[in-house]
Amino acid sequence: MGFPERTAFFKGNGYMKKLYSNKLTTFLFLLPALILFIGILVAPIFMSGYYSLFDWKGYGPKTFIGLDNYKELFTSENIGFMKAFGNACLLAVLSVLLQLPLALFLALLLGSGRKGERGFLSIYFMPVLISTVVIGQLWLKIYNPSYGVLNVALRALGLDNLTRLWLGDEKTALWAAFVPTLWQYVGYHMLLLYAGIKSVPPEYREAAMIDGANESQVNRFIVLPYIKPILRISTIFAVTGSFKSFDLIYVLTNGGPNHSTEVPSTLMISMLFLRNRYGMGSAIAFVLILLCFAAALIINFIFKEREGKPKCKTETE
Amino acid sequence: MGNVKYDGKYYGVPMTMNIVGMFCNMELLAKAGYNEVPATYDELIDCCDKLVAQGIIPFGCSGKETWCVTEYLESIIEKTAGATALNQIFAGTASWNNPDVAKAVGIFQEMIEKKYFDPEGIALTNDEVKANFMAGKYAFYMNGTWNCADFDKAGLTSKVKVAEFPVIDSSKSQLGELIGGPSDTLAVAAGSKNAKVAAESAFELAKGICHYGYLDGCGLPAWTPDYDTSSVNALTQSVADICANASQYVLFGDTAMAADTAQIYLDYVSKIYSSTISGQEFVDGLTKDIK
Repeated sequence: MGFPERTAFFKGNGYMKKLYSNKLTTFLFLLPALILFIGILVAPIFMSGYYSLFDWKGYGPKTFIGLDNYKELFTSENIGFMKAFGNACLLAVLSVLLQLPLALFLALLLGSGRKGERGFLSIYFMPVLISTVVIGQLWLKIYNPSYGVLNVALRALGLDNLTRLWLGDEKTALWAAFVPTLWQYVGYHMLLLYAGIKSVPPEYREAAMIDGANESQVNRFIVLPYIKPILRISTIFAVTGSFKSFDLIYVLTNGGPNHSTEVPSTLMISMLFLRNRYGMGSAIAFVLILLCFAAALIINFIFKEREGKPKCKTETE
Repeated sequence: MGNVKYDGKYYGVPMTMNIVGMFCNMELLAKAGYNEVPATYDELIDCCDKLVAQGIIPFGCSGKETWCVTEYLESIIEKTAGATALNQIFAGTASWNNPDVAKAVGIFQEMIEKKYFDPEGIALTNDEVKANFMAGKYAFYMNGTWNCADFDKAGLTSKVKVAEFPVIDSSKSQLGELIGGPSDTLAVAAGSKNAKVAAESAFELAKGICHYGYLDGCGLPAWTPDYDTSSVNALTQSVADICANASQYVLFGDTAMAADTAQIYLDYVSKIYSSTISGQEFVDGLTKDIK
């Protein structure tokens, strides 16, 4: 019922109407936010694109080399970008196939009004609140080959042959680094989805129940279609978050051993601050931005395609 | 001082200096029948074999921090190929394609294969490895001599000795060829407003840092001490004695090289420690990738 009231307000308040119709005033009000947006988000993207065209150490003279950094980025084994990108893609796939379904399962479970709902919500969300460095240190201790709880538990169970140098072996390091990365944000996606589930009008559920639907049918035909926009946002966050993943990998392995856990962001830091290749680091940053934009657009497109064939009518329909 | 010298002129003043030392846990060495630090390479190998036979891990080295691996690898290369050859390679005036380097890398890998190194080290940080050495898990720990103060404070001076890595090929190397040197320096930009005053200040500041750093056992004197050094801990004094007989220094490889080149070098060193490549592949790869 908001729209008629607002119309009435405008009718009775000529000053505000005049203010809103004045384009200059609108522009001036938006200007501070626009400056921040351009200065903090847009300008750095273009600056990264600009620096990526140079051979530059981050200080001293720059040499214009066109797209050579990009050519080297995608072809050089020495830099290993394709390996890092492959790792990020694998993390994105795992996020969508493991992290989101788990988050959805927990959200549906808690959203159906179980006993201790609030308490469980806080517990599952807790890893999101803890500093990533602290979580990294925690998992470093879990994976420690000598006293780490994982190897100790395996030895206690008589499974000595399964003990590993989890973060030191190229065969296991990537998976070992991904587990805490996926685990940390399950609670985040769960909370987003939980909020969506809680916004489903109770009368929809009740109507379905009266029609004889059981809980899983209600979830499938009422709740899931209703929270599809939130699922879309969660998927975008999970995929772009995987492409941008940095902090936990940096703390756990710093991209090692032998670059087996390298992701684009750790590679970018290495190029910028260890190898003094500011141009190459900027090229990685620029590619990363493009990848995130592309992923968001593709996910939006996929969800819109599916939204064209709704399985239930929503409030707006 | 080669790392601050260009075209015959000096461009930096050293604040401190350090070398790579081979720290030895004498209590563990005694279990292998050695009451003194093995003086020759053959003795070192014999000592390691005896330690392994008794279930004692000879060396601890962090694989998570590749610079720690270079402390071992560079010492072995230096004592096989000679300090002059290694200095030329690091300076870029000689190629990595040197059979002595390949041979040295092979020796290092053979030591890994013979279980001389803690296999868990590859997943540990230097702090964790150092803590293991201090707890008596390893017989040897090769690292910078800045560790002397920590070992002294932990009360290990009575059971830890420091020595240089023994000569492997005496036709090319000798004792007194050390890895390290004055790497931390202060420099003044030529464009500084008061460059002369700033340079004089940097000079005095560097001397002061060196003075107190040495007294605290955090480094060696890059400047000739003209003060009472009797309070310096015994381990640091042992290192000072080693340095007094030094004939040549080779600066740490990742410090001597340009940043980009150093990372390529460290990548190959990391592959050596995990035995992903052979000594010849190490040499071939660096020859190809470091121009």
